[in-house]
Amino acid sequence: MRLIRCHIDSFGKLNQFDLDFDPSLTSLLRENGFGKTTLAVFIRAMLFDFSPSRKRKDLSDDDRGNYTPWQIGQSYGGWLEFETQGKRYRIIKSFPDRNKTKCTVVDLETGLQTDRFGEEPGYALLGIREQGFENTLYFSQRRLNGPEAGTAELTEKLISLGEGTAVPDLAGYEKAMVSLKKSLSETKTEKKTFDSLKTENYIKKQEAKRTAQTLPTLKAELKTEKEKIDALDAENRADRRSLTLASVREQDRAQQKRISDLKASYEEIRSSLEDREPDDPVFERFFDLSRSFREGYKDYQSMRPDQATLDRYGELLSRFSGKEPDPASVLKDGTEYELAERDVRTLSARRDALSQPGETDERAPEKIRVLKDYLEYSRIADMNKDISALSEQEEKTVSEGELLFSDPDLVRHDKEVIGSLQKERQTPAGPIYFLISALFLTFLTAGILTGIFVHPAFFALAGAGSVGCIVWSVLILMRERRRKRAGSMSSEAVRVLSKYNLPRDVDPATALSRIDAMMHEYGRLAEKRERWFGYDSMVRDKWISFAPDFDWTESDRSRAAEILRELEERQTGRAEAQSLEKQLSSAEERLSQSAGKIHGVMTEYGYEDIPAEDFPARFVKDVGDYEKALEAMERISLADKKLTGIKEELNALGLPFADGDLSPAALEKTESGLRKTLNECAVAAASLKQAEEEREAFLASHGQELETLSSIPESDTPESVEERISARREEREVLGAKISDFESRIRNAQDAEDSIREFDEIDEMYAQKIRETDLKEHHLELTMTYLENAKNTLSSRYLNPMRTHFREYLDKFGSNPFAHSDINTALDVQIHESGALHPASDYSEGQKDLLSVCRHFALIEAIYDGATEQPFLILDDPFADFDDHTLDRALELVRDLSSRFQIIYLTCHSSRQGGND
Amino acid sequence: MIRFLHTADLHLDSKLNTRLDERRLKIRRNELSAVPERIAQKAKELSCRAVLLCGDVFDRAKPTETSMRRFKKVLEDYPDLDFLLLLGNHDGGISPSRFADWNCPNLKLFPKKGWGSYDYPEVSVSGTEDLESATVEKLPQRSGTHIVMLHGEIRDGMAMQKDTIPVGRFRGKGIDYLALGHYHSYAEQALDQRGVCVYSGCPEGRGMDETGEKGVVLIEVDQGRVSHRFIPMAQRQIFDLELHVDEQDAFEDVREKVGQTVSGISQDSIVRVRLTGRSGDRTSLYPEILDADLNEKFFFAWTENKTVCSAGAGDEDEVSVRSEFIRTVREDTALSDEEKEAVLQYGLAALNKDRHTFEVIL
Repeated sequence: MRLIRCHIDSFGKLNQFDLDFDPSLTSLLRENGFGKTTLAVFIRAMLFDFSPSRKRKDLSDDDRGNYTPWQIGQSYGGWLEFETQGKRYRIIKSFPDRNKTKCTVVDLETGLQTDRFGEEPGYALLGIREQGFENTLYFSQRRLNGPEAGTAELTEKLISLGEGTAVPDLAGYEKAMVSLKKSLSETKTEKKTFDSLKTENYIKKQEAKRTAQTLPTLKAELKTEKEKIDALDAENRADRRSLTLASVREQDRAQQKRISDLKASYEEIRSSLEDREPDDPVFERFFDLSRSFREGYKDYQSMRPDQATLDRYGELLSRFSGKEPDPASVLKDGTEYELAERDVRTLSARRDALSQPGETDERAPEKIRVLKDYLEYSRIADMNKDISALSEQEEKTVSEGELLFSDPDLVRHDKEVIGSLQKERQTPAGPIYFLISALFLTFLTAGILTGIFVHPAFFALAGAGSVGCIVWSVLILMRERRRKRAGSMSSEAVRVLSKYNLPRDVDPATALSRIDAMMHEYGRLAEKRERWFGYDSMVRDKWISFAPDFDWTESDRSRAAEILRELEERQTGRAEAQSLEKQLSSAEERLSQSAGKIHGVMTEYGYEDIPAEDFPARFVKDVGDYEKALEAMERISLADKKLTGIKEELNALGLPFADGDLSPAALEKTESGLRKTLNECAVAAASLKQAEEEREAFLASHGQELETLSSIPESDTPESVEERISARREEREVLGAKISDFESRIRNAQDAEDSIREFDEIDEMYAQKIRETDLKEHHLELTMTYLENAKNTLSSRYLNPMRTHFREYLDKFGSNPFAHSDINTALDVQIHESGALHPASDYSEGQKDLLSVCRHFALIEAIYDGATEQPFLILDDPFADFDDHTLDRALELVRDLSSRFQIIYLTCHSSRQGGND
Repeated sequence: MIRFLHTADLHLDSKLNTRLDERRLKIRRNELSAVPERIAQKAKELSCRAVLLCGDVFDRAKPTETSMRRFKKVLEDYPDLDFLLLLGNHDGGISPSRFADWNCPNLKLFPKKGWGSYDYPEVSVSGTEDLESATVEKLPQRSGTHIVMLHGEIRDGMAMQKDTIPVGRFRGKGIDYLALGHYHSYAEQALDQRGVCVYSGCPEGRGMDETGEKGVVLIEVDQGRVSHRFIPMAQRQIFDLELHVDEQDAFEDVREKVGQTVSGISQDSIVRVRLTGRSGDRTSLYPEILDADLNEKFFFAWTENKTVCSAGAGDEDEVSVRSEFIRTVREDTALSDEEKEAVLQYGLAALNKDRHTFEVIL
């Protein structure tokens, strides 16, 4: 392949740039910044892809971005003409935007586009990818440091050249190794993590072990503390016993003293009772007698009357002694006397009252009859006036009323007729019937029309309309029948209305109210007539004929009625006066008899000095008092006798305090004092008894303690022992807290002991993980070793041509120090020196550059050895750091190479110019 | 009606599956420690009168103080619930004096020698730790319903062996329900015409040898009729699954198959998937990816690669790194078979075309 010429529209700083290439060596000497590297990039961009953001370390990191035209508005791209296999082509490329490339290859002989070179003409023409191109055919100062990537491709190329076949997975080898290395690294990291966790777990376990190891010590210490607390408890128990005994001893002494005191008190009280026992019966007898005497004395005092009473008793005894007064008989006579006297008095008064008017009217009966007749006639005359005053109209009303209202059933019927007329007039009007009929007809018509013109389904609407019409017609017919019946009723109504002389268009309610009014008027007038004609016609006619003009006013009638009443009363009084006279004479006779009896008794008992009418009551009262006096005198006598008996018995008791004054007050005082003494004595005896019982119980319950009282010192009192126990309680609390702390620590230690097993489990788990990661690491290392060996075995067979060329180039430079150098499977130079392999990077800059140039040319020679077409090389000032001697050799080599390869040599300095510009 | 809850083989303090990581190990250990509380709670919910603990409640003769404390707290928290504790072959060495100062009247122990019985309305519960023939023959007779608690492996016939229960010797003895412990899965079989032998199994699985549904057994005695039913109550179930891999399967195929294999399993479960069969040239098994997939779904899960790599080196003349690699590995006698499998699988996975996948895991 040979480059012919190129044209740059615009590419970086180059603009409208043209260059023709020499078939063998094109040397371009231009100052720095001219755009030599830009030209090299342009050539690569024409042959290979030129995509943005590609990671590379040489030409650029982002070629497309870096080589955007400096001139605004210029077309980014150009073309490159080349010749291959005797034919010329032009690659035209432009880069309109960051992600788009327009590429056209034109056959210059035919002028037609061709796709012979595919999407990447560089690969089709040179047999290498872009990366390989940069590692081989593009040669810059920076490239001297050796290839960093893409060596596998080159190796593959070497192999494929040697074998004539492609090795599909060699490129993948590198990635596989990278991945395996990464995996190995991660496995190691993982293992380290597990190691670390295992160690951490081990530390925790050791810590737990240490904690667990304290368990026996803690238990022993706990035991010691518990023993201390037990000892304290034992002392406390002993002191509690002492406390009990001291307490018993104190109680014993207190009881003894109390009993002694109570006994002394009891004896002192008894001495005041003359050594009698409190329960001696004489005391009780004394109390009984004393109480009886005081009660008897009280009774005696209460029943003893005052002097006036005694005087009265004396008078009565002298009046009634030896006689047998009969108060009942006196009382009866007195009652009869009183009744007779009262009758005489009453009757006399009534007779006196009757005889006061004194007048006797012989004509009274006649007057009464006349007055009664006149009053009767007065009523008849009034009625006659009423009847005579009836108007013609009223007469007519009455006569019509008799016809109209004589039959109540008929009247009710007429009212019902008028009521039905009202109901009929309230029946709904016709327009509603008309609207409903119109609605059904509309349905019918609309149903038929839409059924014909729209859809047959609408006939259903017509059907519904026709059914509605039929039903409605039936309803109307029924209504008409009702209306006919209502018409007959209407004629009846007309008849009824005319009967009552009412207009036809009268409102039924008005008609009913008017009928009611007529009935009422008729009733009122008929009643008048009834009253008139109901009177006895003979009497009526007699009085009308007797005094047709008689006319009494209402006041006349009242006056006449009053006179009549007076006359009648006087007529009754006369008969009553005659009866009273008879009764009075009988009453006076009875009064006389009763007075005789009473006066006899009064004389017998000496009551002549009082009025007879007062005597019965006085006699009855005196007889009663006399009987009471007899009873009182007897009771007083008995009470006196009783008191005398009690006094004798009291004296017989022989008690000194009973001697002397036996008045109730003295007795009461004596009794009170004695009771108090006896009570005090009983209380003292009860207290003594209770104290003795308590002591017995105390001795029974504390017998054992009392026997062992000698075991505690006399100085031990309950208070002193309690103090000792209290002091020990504080000590015990401290010990309790200690024990609690020990127990807590023991629990922790036990937990730690339990957790050792868990740590063991975790330890085992991590050991297992570490074993697994070890095994994985081992397997990964083995895998990498075997994979590398495989690749090396494969590669080493095809590196020989490159090694041969490498040594040839070294020889051309005369570099004997590197006679033992070699190319490894990574295409790196290695020098055997001092029994070890050294990389080129171990040597000086000049030596490194020399080795790199040789390796580079050897690689190109090896790859294109025997190729049908040799490629072009771009040397972008690669020898800038060479010394003069080496530079000369290098330039000589370039010239020599240009006989086999087309070379484009770019430099900025004339000293390094390898050919004509 | 009276109810009992039959359980056994809690193995408190036992070691756990070491595959679990530290966090899950702690969670699981706490869950297993809380089993007595959960059993008591379940018994309360089901209105049981007593819990029949048929041996191996503890894993060893010297239980940790922590376990003992927790067990005691359960007894104290449920004073109305009796706990009939029979010791088994694991915890048989625990001395009754360990419980002596507990002051838990609801804890009922059985004697080391001879039979012990506890009477409830209509029901008597007998039990013994002593499986000597002399004791077996002296099983107390009861007129009502009789439940017998034992721990050991049942065997047909009458022959006496250590830690075994000769079923023949218990036939016709008026037993209604033989409550057993020792076997870690639920099982039942007829004892005679009247009774039934039931292993409750352990209430929670602990290792890969305790797969399947775990729980307790509810015994119901109603007017002399005894019925029972298994009640699952395990917090987590353990699954041990096998997946056959074909050499034609690509990794994504295997991944999908693993997903299908574990479908329908509760997310609380512990799952192991063992990959067997042959892994071919296309089959690169990335256990980390598979494990990550599974652990997104379950409490804990992992795969075990038991496949055999069947990838061949191809023709003698084939020029490729892969061929050279396979040939070198296969022909190297210094490598063990296990190493060869591992190296081949790692190497082929690295060279495989599933680049993105490889990147993800490596």
